[in-house]
Amino acid sequence: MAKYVMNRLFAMVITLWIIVTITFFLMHAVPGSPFNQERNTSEAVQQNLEAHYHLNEPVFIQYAIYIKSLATLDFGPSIKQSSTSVNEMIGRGFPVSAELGITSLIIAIISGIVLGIMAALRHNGAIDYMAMTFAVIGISVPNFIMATLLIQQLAVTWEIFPVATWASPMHMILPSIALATGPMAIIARLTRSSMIEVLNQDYVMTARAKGMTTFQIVMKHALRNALLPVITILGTLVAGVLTGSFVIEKIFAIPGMGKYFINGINDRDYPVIMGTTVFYSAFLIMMLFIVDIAYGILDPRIKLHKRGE
Amino acid sequence: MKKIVTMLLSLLLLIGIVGCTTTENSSSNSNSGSDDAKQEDGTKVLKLNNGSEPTSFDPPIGFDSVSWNALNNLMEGLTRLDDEDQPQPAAAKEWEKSEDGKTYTFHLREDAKWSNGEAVTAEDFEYAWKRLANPDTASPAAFLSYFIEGAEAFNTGEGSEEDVMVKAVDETTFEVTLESPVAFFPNLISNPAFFPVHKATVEENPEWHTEADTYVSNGPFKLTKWEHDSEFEFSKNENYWDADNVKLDQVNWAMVDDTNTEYQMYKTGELHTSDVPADLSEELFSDGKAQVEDQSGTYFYRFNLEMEPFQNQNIRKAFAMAVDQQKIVEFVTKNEEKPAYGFVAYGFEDAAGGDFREVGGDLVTTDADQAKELLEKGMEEEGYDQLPAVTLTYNTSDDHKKIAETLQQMYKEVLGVDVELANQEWNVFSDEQKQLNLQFSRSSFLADYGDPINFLESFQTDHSMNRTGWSNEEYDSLITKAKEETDEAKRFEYMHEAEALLFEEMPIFPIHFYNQVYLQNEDVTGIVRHPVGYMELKWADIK
Amino acid sequence: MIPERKETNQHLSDNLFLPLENSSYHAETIAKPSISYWKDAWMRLSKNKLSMAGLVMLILLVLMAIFGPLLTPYSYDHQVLTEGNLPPSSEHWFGTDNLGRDMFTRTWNGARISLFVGFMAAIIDFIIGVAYGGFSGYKGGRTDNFMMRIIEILYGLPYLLMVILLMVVMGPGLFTIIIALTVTGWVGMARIVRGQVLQLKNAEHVLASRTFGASAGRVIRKNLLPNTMGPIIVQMTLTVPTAIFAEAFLSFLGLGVQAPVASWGVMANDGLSVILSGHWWRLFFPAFFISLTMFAFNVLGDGLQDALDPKLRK
Repeated sequence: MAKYVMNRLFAMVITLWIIVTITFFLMHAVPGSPFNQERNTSEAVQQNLEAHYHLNEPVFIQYAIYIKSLATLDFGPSIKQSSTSVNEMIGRGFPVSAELGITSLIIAIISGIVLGIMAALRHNGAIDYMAMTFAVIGISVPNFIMATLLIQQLAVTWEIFPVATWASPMHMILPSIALATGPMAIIARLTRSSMIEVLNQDYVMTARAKGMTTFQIVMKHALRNALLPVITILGTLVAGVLTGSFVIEKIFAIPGMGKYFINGINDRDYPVIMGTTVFYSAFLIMMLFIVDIAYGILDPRIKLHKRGE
Repeated sequence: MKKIVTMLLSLLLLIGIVGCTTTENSSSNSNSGSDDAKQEDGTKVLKLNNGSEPTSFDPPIGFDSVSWNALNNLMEGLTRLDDEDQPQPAAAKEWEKSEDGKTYTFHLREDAKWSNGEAVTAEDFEYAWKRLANPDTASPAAFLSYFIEGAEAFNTGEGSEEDVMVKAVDETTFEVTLESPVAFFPNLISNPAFFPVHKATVEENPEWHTEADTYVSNGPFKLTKWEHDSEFEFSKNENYWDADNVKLDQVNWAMVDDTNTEYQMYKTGELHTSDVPADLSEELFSDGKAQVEDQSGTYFYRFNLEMEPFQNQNIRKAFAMAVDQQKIVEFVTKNEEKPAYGFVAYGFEDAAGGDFREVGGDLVTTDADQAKELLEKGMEEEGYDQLPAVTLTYNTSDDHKKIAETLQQMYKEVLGVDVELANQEWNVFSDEQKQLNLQFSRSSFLADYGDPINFLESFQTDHSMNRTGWSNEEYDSLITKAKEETDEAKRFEYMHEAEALLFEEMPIFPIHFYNQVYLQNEDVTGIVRHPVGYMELKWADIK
Repeated sequence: MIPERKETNQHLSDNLFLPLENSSYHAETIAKPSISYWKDAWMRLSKNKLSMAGLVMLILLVLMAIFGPLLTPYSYDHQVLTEGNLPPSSEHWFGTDNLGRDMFTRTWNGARISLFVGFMAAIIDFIIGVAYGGFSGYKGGRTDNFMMRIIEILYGLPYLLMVILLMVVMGPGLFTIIIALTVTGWVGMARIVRGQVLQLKNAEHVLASRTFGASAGRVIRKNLLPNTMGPIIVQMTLTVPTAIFAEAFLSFLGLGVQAPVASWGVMANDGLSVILSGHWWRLFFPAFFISLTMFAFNVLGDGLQDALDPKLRK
């Protein structure tokens, strides 16, 4: 096991390096420049700006410089916000995004799984239909519509919640709900579907025959196996949600890091593109690794590494 | 079957809620922005929205709208625009112009102070302006300094700092020599790029402008809090020379990037002003809630003269005349913009007191019949049986799309030409347009300073804003003459001639002039919005 | 033949019919189980009223996408600027948009793109995802390790950047959209299938099959896939609305079909501010049909899951 973990950690560094390299050349291949703006500028001004950020050097040299600073975990300064370093941006934005993300993940996971189990137990019953309809709406109404509706109803019309910004726990409620709806619906759907499958397995039948209650069966036997697909998607979901949602953060004016992913690319702010990509990829790869470990814990039959290797 | 009906019904019900709530809302729009604006303890706190994190509060770096509104109220240049957009003495109490119009001598106020209590000196200005032109500063606004003798050479690396002709004669006397007589120089230097910086602070700490507690300013307000990417806060600057006339105690700036959200916050009283969401403008204008202020800028389209069929002047004119500007502003943008029939916007007075645009008159007209004739004539000249395919490109945005779709229909109806539409991500679009890869594309111009020459110099041969492949020697010489001319009446004459020539050849055609549409809490008064794009809070008050 | 053990027992009458049909079939052809598996699945599916309703709904949506725009005298792009934002009426069944275009015609014209993109994305994700994930999970060990690292790289690369480059290289169009959706669309499916396969490949029936010398492809197809159909179908049904909205995002970058054609996703995006202005029909109709499509796929998918589950075979 220890060796397996070591191998995976080594692979992680290689994977990250490949991602960094591809992204670096990809972003320089895309047309545009960080200094394009609607307003007037002159050639000389553009050149001064490029020289200032070493963008006039050959791409390979820039790559070498970047890898060198990356080795010391220094992502460099943002070009658009010249007084801020990318490290600072992530340092400021990530805690906010993570706070919002964890809140909505808790909402999504708990309510999604409960909803899914209830629907599966009452397969083709009223609860099943309600839960499914709910899930359909949750998935097919995108979060920007959901968010705008929530604000309009609960904040403007009823004035129960503040409209936007990130000042108090009350400010967290609406964005958390808006962000949780989609994942919750997906988790509910997946839980229900694999639960129905598991409930028809022989060992569940046996348990039932032995006189265990439904609750006991679900908790002891079924849930464990039914959760596998949910765990699979959780890996990417956690990474995605915790590093911030551009749309939700924009609508609710939340100072998270979601906007850097999109704005960095729109502005061709090269250091921001690289910094956010490295951060997100590292986070994601870590989560996928944890998911693989979780497979083995949930189902001892799954072996990712050969014994004795 | 019962199941299906139940499920469909519940689906309908849920989606129905969405539908119903949206209808309800239109009626609840009426109670807006009338909450009591003043704080309970009587302090006057203005709540504004900056949209997003300012690029920089370092004057030569923050050269964009997200920095200007704040910067213009934190700092003060030699002049400040008044409520009629005319330059008035600010950090300078008076100035003289030499005979040849090239040398300006500014006399600074003795009581002009930095927020740390020290005096604003001529040396601070000299330092700041040289810093603007310094290539190492990498200021995007550096080209504005090119009016000063020696600045362009220094900025392009051909000259040295010593040769930039700005000089602190003594503590309060500041002398500038220009390349050519620039009549609008006092207006130009109200731009944040020309603001002073506190020399000692900048030299000691290059990062002085990144945090509130190290920021030193000389304007009506000082920066007291800056939570990056979240909000910032101004307080009245007690050291400001005209502090008695500053009525606000505090200004809170939010950073809300979404117009719908901004509007909703305005409605709940969390903001005192707001932009108008796209679909609401009609309603808010008819209720008399939305207000309009001019903005110096033009929404226009560029033809690419290096691509068929726009090498032909008559075809270009046909495409320009087929467009109904009035209809576009009335039914499509619905923002009460003024339709544009010339390139230079309203708001520039000549020596005789006439407005440049009104004197210049309409240089392009909407005329379907003539457009058709011109198209036929042009096609004949080029020997076309069929017009080469035309693609109209715009950078992605709902507003640009609406206008592009309308143009497409106008060309179909008036000229019988099927124009293809294409949209591109902003940065790609910008690159392609500069490289003359687009045949026919959406464009905009926003003035950097308040003079018609700023608009017209764009279309000189090889100017970075030209982007049409159009080149005309007579036009170039008219612009040069206008820049050299000291006599205002003559200068305007040259500019009118140049603009007429531009429309004679029609490498571009205008759609509308920009404006600033906003909602404002009824208790808030005295905010001045300048056409060049920044806001004045010095005289703002809350009832 | 394991009898169905569900909470709802009112289907008892069904059970009485089925074995008869099945056995008569078997008697005639002595068919391999592979044929009867799909036939049997279809028969069970067709007995599921709800799923059939979903299927009918999808067919109706497709028919309306084809013929809907012909039902009105308007064309999808004809503007009558003076008749903007009219509510639904007998003249304009779904009202008009801000430029005075008929929303009914535009909605069904947009359905063509949205449905096409949704179907294509689901199918392609299914093919690539199942093949990749199935192979990776079945092989395990080093192969699995390597294949999963490739997936990590695809996840890690900034999608927006890839898509902008794709747009610059390929130019706009439906084909570009499909490519853009496919580049990373399948990885979610691949990971789910792989997870399921990892779990199942050591189950008794699979081990038995392998002991008898069945090839990898055969084991995946015959033993593993039928038992992982549930999550696969759920994932597929999720792909449809995701793809419909992704298309809107991609048109924003200039990849998609160009204005004045508008897909449901683009219309829903354009109509967002109507939540404030009260022109509800501009958001409601596209959003409703996206939901309806999703709904139809879901009930059909559920029926399919039941029908394809070998444990539920009668």
